[in-house]
Amino acid sequence: MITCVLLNGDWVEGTPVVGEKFKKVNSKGGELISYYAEPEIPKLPTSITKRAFTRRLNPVIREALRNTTDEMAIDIREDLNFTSHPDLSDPDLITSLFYLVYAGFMTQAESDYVLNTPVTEDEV
Amino acid sequence: MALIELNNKSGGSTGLLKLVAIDNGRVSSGASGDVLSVTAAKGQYLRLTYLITGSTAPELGITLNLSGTDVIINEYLTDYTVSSVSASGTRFGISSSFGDTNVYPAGKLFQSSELCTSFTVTKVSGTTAQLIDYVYQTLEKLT
Repeated sequence: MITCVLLNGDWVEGTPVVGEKFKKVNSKGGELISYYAEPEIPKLPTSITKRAFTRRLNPVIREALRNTTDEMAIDIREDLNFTSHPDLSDPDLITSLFYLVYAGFMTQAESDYVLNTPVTEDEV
Repeated sequence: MALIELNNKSGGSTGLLKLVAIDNGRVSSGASGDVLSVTAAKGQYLRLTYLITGSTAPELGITLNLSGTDVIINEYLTDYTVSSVSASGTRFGISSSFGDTNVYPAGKLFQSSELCTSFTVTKVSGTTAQLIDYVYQTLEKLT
């Protein structure tokens, strides 16, 4: 597949910018002429499986949450236990992780890893 | 593998066809004239399976030409919500599903175009205000 753009009235091989007229020619000679627009990038959901969420917490954090007597942390742990698909964009979850950082269960970097690592297809 | 037996509009049978490619894309807003023009290679056929604006608003004044014949002339290209299309509606669109199942397949809403050797989507006057999304298949004789 060859992509061309118009240059001084002639088609020359190139990469179009948004709004620019372009032509694509396939290996058998079929062609498409149109005006280029960026393709829409599919958005992955922000909810992941509980197992995937657990994998984002390292074993030290998981053990600390299992053995804690901190009432807030216990509430957070129980909430997570009842959630089948934690939503990484849920303000309550973000606040919960903020508390876990504050209370020393995890570092800010570990919280960022849990919340901001791009969701992969095998996590949903 | 998709096997399709259809008569070619221009006469004669195309015989069994196989699907060799599915292409999709998006036409930018601000386009004028023939905003999408596709010509099949010799021995190949095309079928549009999606032609809808990429927003929640229709595009006014669109003509669709298949193999040299204007099959839709200067009508609204619908958006995917198809909010008010009735059987007498003047919007058209091509998609296997629409947002409002109450109206499908009323009006000029199609699941796909006929087989053709070329198709052109033309903005009759002015420039397009909406993005236009499209998908088409390329088929050729099964050998």
